[in-house]
Amino acid sequence: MASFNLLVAVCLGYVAILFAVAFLADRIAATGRGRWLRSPLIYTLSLSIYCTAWTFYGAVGYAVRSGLEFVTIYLGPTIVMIGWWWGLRKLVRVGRSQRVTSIADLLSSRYGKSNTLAICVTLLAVIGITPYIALQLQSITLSFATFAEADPSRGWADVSSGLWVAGGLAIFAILFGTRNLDANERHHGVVTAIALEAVVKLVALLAVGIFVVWGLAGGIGETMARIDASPIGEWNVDPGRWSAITFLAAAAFVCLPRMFQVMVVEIDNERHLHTAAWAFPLYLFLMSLFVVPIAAIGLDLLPEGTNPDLFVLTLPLSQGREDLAMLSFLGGFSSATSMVIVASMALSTMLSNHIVMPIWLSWTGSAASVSGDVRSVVLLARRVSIVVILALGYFYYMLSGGGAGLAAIGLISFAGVAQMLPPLVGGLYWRGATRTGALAGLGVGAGLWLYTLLLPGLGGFIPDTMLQQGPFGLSWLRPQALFGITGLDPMTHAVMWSMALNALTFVIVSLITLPDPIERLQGAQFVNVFEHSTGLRGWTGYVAQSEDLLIMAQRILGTSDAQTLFQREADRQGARGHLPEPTPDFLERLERNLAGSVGAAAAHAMIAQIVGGASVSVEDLLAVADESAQILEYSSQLEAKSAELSRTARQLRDANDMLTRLSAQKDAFLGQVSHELRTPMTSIRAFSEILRDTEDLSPAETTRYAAIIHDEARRLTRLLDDLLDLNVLESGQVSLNMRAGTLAQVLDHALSSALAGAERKMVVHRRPEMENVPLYSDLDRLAQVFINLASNALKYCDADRPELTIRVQIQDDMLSVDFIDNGRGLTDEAQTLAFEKFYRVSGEKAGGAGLGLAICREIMQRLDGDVTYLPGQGGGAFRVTLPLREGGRGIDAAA
Amino acid sequence: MTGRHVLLIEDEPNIIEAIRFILTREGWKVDSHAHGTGAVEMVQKTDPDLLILDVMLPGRSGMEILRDLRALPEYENLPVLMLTARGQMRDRDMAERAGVSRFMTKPFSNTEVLAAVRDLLAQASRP
Amino acid sequence: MSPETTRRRRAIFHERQTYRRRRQRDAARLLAVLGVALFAVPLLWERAGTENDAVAMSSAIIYLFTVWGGLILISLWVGMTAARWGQDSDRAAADPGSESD
Repeated sequence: MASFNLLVAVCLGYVAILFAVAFLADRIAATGRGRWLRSPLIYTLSLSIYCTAWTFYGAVGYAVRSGLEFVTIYLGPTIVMIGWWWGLRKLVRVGRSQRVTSIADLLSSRYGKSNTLAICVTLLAVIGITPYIALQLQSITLSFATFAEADPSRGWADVSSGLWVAGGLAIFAILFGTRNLDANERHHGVVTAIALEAVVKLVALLAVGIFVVWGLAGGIGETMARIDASPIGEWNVDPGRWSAITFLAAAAFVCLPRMFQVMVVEIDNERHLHTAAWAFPLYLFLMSLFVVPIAAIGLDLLPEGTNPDLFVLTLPLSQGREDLAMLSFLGGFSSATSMVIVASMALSTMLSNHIVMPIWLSWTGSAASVSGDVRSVVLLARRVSIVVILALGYFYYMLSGGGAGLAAIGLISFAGVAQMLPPLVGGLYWRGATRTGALAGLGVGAGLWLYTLLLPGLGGFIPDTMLQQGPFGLSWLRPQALFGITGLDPMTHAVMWSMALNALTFVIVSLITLPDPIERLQGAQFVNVFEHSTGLRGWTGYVAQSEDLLIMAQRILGTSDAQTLFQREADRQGARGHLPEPTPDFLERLERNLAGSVGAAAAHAMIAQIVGGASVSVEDLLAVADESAQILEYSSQLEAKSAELSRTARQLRDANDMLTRLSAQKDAFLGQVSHELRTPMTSIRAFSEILRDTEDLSPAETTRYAAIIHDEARRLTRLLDDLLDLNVLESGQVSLNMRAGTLAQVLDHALSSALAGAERKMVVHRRPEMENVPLYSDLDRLAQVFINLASNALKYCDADRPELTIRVQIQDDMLSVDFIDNGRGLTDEAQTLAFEKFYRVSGEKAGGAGLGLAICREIMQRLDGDVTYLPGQGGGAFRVTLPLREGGRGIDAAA
Repeated sequence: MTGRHVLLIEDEPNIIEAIRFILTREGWKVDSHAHGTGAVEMVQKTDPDLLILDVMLPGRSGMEILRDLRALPEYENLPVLMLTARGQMRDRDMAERAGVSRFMTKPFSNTEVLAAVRDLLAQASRP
Repeated sequence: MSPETTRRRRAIFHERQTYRRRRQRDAARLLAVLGVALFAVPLLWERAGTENDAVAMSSAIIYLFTVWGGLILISLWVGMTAARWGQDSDRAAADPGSESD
């Protein structure tokens, strides 16, 4: 027989390994390495804290008592996981975007940051989970006892071992769950250790199962035959319980604080759900695969009266396989420890954020948020909470005497936390859900749960007479047969009544009450989380003093973290120094960061105190109301000055921005002008120096260089003319010489000046019958535009035999004249830039200054028309549009 | 003296002609390229002793060309005379950062250009 | 092939892919319903202690674990395709109720 001492040694060694893993994972995460720490696999494994010792050992006991009913505990979560697209995806998104720290925080945040609701949820969770923790302590001590019995050389005391176990677990949870206040409330160390434990318990159960099926029973067929022959060989599940427990397990899977912790708070990437959606059901599948075989073979082989809850341990022991028993023991030990650690961490977060901190804030009196070291208080509160929770579990275990009464506790716990489901689902999918509705529903549900399930289940709290005849002899109020409904199993009965009335109350009260503004905003944020995942409701106060905010943030986030946060924000705002302006954006980010440490309600109230709560009332945290009043007064004094200053600063900033923009435009323009002027000047200077300084120039050279000088001088003149023209047009000082004429006249004039004397010949297609349009406009300016377009066509049309088509149309009193050539036209880029000043087609040589089209556009806009590029005409095409005016009326326009 | 070969990258034909005239008379061999794109390849092909580079070129700016050249080890020390018609302080700063050897504003006098070319080649041929 | 037809081909291809993604999301949603339905089947089985023969434990185990395994496989397929839904999943299916096909 393996000595009990060896077991203790193995056990301590295992705990040491867990410590090491958690410590290393924390270290690696702190250095920013270790992407695998945040892999979907670790996430999936961490979800396995759903499988506690109750399921590790208890599933077999459950199967012995009720056949396949045990599997409902796994079917509920399976359905939730494979239906992730419907529910978990949204829950996780909301959790991440709101930085919630617990399910109480989520509900509080959804229902207008109500701390009352958070307190209720926390209390419900503590009441529901404490017996569950006791159950884990019991399973560990029982499994120790099993080994101790096998080793008669040792004395063994159940109760004292329970104390040791509880203490050890508290230390582990404190060391790794409350080492620091992370803004995201993530604990890589604990999660990694839990993932390891998940592997251990799965391997342990599979090993025992394989040993039983192939080692003891002799194969699958043989095992099935022995199962059918065993006392549990027939289907014997109550349909009511089958559905009720499946539903309960699904609800609890989402609502249990520890599940919420690993599933929503610790998740690193929403995409992990893709993997967990099949991997976690697979884990559950494997965990339950061998339960019935172990139960059946255990019933067959072990002496009558053996506790079926410990078959997983006693079956290998009875066959002399101590190694296997040891492994199985470690599996059960893993199940219990991981559950207790995470549950106590999650509960402690809730307790400290929603109960201890508000009390402390109101108790320390005024200016708490800027005077005390909130950070250390939060950590202390969490540590104390962990100890308190484990102490409660231990005392519960002591008081209940570790009897069989505990076995039913798991489901009773589930039913308790499931009461959070209506406000949770309603909060995520129904904008009309209100805080009052949630509180009323929770109250009714929790009350019914206590009355119909918890108290009768505990025994002793409710006298038998009351169970039999109802309170005060009112038989229709019998706890296990409300309204005279008898034939139901107590569990089904309790679940049905509590959930139905909870949901009904929640819906009805929500319908008749009005949510306050914060609630409505938060409701929209939650329900439509996929539309705006980042925003929170806004802070509109500019009154806060950044320094006060920094002091407060340092207390909570720690000095360096807070300063980094503020510095980053200041850099983002482009402010000098270290303090950012308290813009709404910044306040929201700060609040979310603080919420990661102290919960949404407290963070909101703390900022409200300093900012002055311009858009939000502080009533959501009653405990700090006095204090906030003082700070409100303080900040309202600052308000006048501070608001004035920030207004002036903004105006100055705007003015400066505009000047900078203008100056940049002016720079670019001057640079262009300079370039355009200096280029011809360079040629002129160079060639005049050549003419002056070179004595042996041939007459041909002299003539040529003089001609260049002449050309460049003309180019310079043209450029100056254009610049002046553009300046006059742009400044609006141009006087238009309006007179009557026809389009045909203007075109004739323009085309003859553009094409006369050109080296290239261009064929012009016109339709004179369309051109007899009477105009009343500045005909000289119009001709200038036409000349420009025609010369451009002549210059840039790259066809061998250039042709220009002039197309005239009249539509709705607008005349349009298109100039279409048969060249390649303009590229996309050129089309957008063609009308910019100084734009020239690349490669263009001495000629235009690139101002022609800019001038055309200015002219046409003066004439209430426009000139645009017409794409898709198979060549370069410009359209001139011009309104047909009063002065031209009376002449047949259509001609 | 080997340094007798100048490459001129400039898009104004008249300016090319002027500079070619001035330098050819003094015994230099002048190649020219009128576009920003392909300028670096042109340098690699002709392997000049001196490069005269305009800033505002079609395709790519002279600054970019200069930066690309300086990134190539064989042109780290190639003398580059840069010409600009924009004449702003910023351009000069940019050119200096890009590694220009001499910077001149248009319009220039012919003697200045000649002097600058001589100067740069003398510096380059010194050990 | 002219550019015009290439463009049209691609447009159809794109729509088809979007369509398939939507159907895959429908499948993802239906999976939970399918699970509930299949796991509810045992409610109708004959129980021990009634007049007729009860369903044997071995058959019950085989049924439940087969259904379970099947659901896991479908979920695996959904999870793998979901990885490719990418960003558009956030907008296209913002809310189970709000998506209109």
